[in-house]
Amino acid sequence: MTTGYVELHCHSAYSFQEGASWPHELLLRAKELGYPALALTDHDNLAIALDFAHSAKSMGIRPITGAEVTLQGGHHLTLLAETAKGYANLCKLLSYAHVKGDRRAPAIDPDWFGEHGEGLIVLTGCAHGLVPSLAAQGRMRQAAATLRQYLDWFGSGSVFVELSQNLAEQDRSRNRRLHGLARELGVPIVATNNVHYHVPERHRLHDALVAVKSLKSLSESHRERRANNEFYLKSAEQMTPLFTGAEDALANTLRIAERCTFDLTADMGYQFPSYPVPDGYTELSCLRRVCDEAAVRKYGRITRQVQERLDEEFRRMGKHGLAGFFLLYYEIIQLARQVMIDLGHGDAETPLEANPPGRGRGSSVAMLTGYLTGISHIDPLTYDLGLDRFLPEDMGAVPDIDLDFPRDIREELIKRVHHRFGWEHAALVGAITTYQAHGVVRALGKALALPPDLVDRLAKRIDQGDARHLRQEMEGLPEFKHLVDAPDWRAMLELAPQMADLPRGIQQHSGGMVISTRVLTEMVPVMPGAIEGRYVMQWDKDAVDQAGMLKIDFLALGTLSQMQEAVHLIEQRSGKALDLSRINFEDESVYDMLADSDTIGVFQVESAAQMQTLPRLRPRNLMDMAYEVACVRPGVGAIDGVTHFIHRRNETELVTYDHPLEKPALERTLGVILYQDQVMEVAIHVAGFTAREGDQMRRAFAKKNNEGLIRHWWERFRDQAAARGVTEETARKIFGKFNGGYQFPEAHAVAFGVTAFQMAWLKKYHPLEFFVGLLNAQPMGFWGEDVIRGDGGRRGIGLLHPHVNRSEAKAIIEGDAIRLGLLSVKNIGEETAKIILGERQHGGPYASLAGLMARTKLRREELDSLAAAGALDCFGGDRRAVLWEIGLRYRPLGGQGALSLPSEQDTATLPQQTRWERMSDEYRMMGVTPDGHLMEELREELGPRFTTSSQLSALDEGAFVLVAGMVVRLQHPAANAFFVTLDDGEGLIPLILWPAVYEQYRGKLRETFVLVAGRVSRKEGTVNIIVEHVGTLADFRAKQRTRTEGPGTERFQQARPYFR
Amino acid sequence: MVTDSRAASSDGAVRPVDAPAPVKVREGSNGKPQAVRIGRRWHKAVSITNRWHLGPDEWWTEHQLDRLYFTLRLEEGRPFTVFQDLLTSQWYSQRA
Repeated sequence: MTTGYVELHCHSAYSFQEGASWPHELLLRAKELGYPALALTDHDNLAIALDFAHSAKSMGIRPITGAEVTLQGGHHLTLLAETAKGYANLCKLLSYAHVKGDRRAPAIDPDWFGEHGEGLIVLTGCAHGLVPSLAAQGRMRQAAATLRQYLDWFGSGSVFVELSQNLAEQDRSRNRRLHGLARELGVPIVATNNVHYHVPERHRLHDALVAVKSLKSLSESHRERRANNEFYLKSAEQMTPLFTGAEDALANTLRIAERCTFDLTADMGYQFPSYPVPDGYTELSCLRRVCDEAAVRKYGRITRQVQERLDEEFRRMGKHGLAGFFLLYYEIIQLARQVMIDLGHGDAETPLEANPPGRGRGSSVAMLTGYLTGISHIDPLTYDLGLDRFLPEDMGAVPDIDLDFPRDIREELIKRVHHRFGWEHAALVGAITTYQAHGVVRALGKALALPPDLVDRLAKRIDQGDARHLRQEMEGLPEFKHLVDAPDWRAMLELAPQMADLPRGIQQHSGGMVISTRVLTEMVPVMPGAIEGRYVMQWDKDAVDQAGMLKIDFLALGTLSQMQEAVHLIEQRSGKALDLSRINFEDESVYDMLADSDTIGVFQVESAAQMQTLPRLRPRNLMDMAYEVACVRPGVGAIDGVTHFIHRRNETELVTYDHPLEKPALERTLGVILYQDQVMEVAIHVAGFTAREGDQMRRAFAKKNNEGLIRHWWERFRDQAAARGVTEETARKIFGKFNGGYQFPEAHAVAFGVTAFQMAWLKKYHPLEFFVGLLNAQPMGFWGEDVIRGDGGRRGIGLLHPHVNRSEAKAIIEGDAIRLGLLSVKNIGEETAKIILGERQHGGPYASLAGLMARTKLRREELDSLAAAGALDCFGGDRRAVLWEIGLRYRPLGGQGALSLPSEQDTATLPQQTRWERMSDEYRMMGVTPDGHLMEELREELGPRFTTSSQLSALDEGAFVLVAGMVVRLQHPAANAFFVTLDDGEGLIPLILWPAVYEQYRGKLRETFVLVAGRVSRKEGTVNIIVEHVGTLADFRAKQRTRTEGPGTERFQQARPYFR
Repeated sequence: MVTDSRAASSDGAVRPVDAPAPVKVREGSNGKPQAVRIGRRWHKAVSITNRWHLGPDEWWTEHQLDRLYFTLRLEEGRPFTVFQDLLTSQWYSQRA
């Protein structure tokens, strides 16, 4: 007879290498088995608990929130949240386990249970539990004492002796003893199956994950792996015979499940932050006063327009209880301003709103309140930005505020926010790292003990690939094709698709932070971040969203670091202050430069796709800039919006609407949906949705597995539109324009458009400072250093080698050129740079290599890197001779230091490095060749048949061309084609490859240099090459040696001598 | 699968101690062992004192292993351990 069963000890893949099934797989299986409830007890974390709770409820299964925690000493204990208090205690315990112990090896001090045991149900754990281990060892007296201690801490009704029967050799004897102990102390028993995967077949992946975790191969990890494949979700019928004579243990699973009434989706207890205000003020009136005062400073007086806008914003904030949040934000901005001043980027006299420390992005930029409190740099009244996207009347989702900072301000601000509010109230949002294709291959390769070099090569080759399709990926690679049927690789091919995207750990999100009035660690566990002084929640941004928590995003934007440095240099060199908010935003020559796609290094408009769009859209003002940055987005591309918008703008296509009701929503963008807001607006105007409904519908498109959801919204849209006289056919057409591709909110586009213009203005008028800032903010943006060097070079800005006697850590201006910094050299880190600079400042310039070595005691690797980068050229001689001398003089650390003895007698006569060798070394060491482009060295060898980038614009549509260059970018947007950019030393060459051509040549495109044959395509001012053949330098050289002609078409014959 | 231990000994190789040896087992209707044949005699199992599952292991090699073990108490009172190879359904004893 079965008594029913609920699993109360269950791990998902979020136990990180200790569970091999996704939560939804566990839930689906639980549903099939007829479980009324299911507990999730991942190891030491609640990372997926909220999502699990929502999913379980949607499937009619009652979720039980819990965790298997690790105690000091390494023993396990299973804790389940019976009540909201229990959940809060669980969060606290997990937080303390991480914060007070080792971040990587969290452990709970059992003494904490005294204070934080209430509301929890305790199961004594699997075989690794303290009580079960003691019982297994026959130490029954200690086991009894421990159990009594649990009873004392958690209360007699809340402790259960856990009997797990996984048919491991020791299970039966241990359970017999545990059962006896339970009887002796009058403690109830409970059965669990210590589940680690939903079905037995998944044990292989679990075995592999455990091997990965233990850094061993499967063969070496017998001790770590489990004995068998019994750790899966079992039915009541399967569990019953395992507990003959202990039927209570099964019945108690149901009793416990019924007791655990805590519902994480409803009972977490989060409230929007409140903020202490002076006597006589409410949060609203306090915030209003801040805004009114700033408005007087900004506008001279509070105009009627400002008054009305603020009234409306305050009415909505009041309605949604958001004033406390904005006040909190205002305090953070003030903290940021203090950081800015402390770092020397601002002064205390300038009012906050006149020089905000950061820049708003996202839909929050639409708030005048934000502009006046320094959250954003955009006046929403100037750009007529509506409130409905950020703060709809019927707000459904929590508004997000995103703020960009220069990197240094952000780093410090995060620390100060932690310090100001304390880690129990303020923490960074977490991010779940996952197994990507190369990680999957490496991990499984090691577990399966496959040849490391082969695994490494495969991992590199499929870097952009998908582990779910490893077989197809390998079949497409000639080097690996034969392995798909090799017995040794069978397990790799079987497991890789299962392991794809599996979670591997929790780390910090790029900058989201939650600041909570209620103690945060009672709602979600918090742990120290990898960077000292930072604390990270165990929830990622989706969970934070689901929980309805207000999140503040502090983002580091490289562009703002670049801008900050450029402005600083300009002010330093000119002696005059520069306010980028007061430049001429109508400057024709800046717009001309943009229309010429002269935008390398310019925020938002430097990508290959933007370079293609700029000459067609030809922005002439800031609104156009907003269109420009908004239109190259997947959500716009999906409906071919870019083309329609540009044609309508250039009056080669009529402005039309699918229905006149669309007009109020789309008129400003010529009938095309460019912005997120417009999806919502169309739904409002065409189908009478509320702003909230429109926003919910928009979000539904971005969700995974959303077919049911989309059907729901379509039916509503169709029916409500019909009531307004829109036919189903027209409604379908309009609805068809909504999609899940990302689009910018309008306010965000305006904010980014302004920043883009400011950066373009800097490039136009202060290129030297612009490029220094750009180089020092690397890595950022779209292009590598060598492309940046080429672009600067075409403006006459020289790049000088790093130099141990002249360089600083970062790039500096030297005359009319840029001197590269020491940090640009591979293997030279901040500490080493500090040593070189400190010693130089202290003891004067280095007179010789011997002196440098003796004074700095740099490591061999560092010296070699400096020499190869040209930083030691000042000591004279060829670089090869310098490397030789380093070898002669170098004594490893711990041995005798380098002696300043003469070394001439040991100097060998070495052949001088060629320019090619020198430049290759530089490229390897810095990613840039200061003296020129490597292609210059190849041009003579390639001969005159190869067209250069500067000659391309003179060619006709359809002309056959041969080009050669370094591959600097490869992109594959949602559209069919692959876009590759070559740098041939004179400029960039955009290539388009259709999928079949790409597939044929994908291996060759991974080479540094490629030779391409194709046809010129000219379109609305842009020039591309449609690729037909790709060859490598080796192909070309081999061909040059043999020079055999082959048969075929004329085109083929033209290309053949070079590539085949 | 279990390697044929007799084949190994016929090669003159050293036979490991405690290597599995095939054994005849009489199964009950539930598949559990009821009696084992040791030498020429059948010995009845009066109880099963432990049952455990080892494997699947070595599944990534050609020598996969999956066994269900039983510790029996034989009628004369001594314990006796047998396992069923779940890949072939053959029975083995774990004695030398």
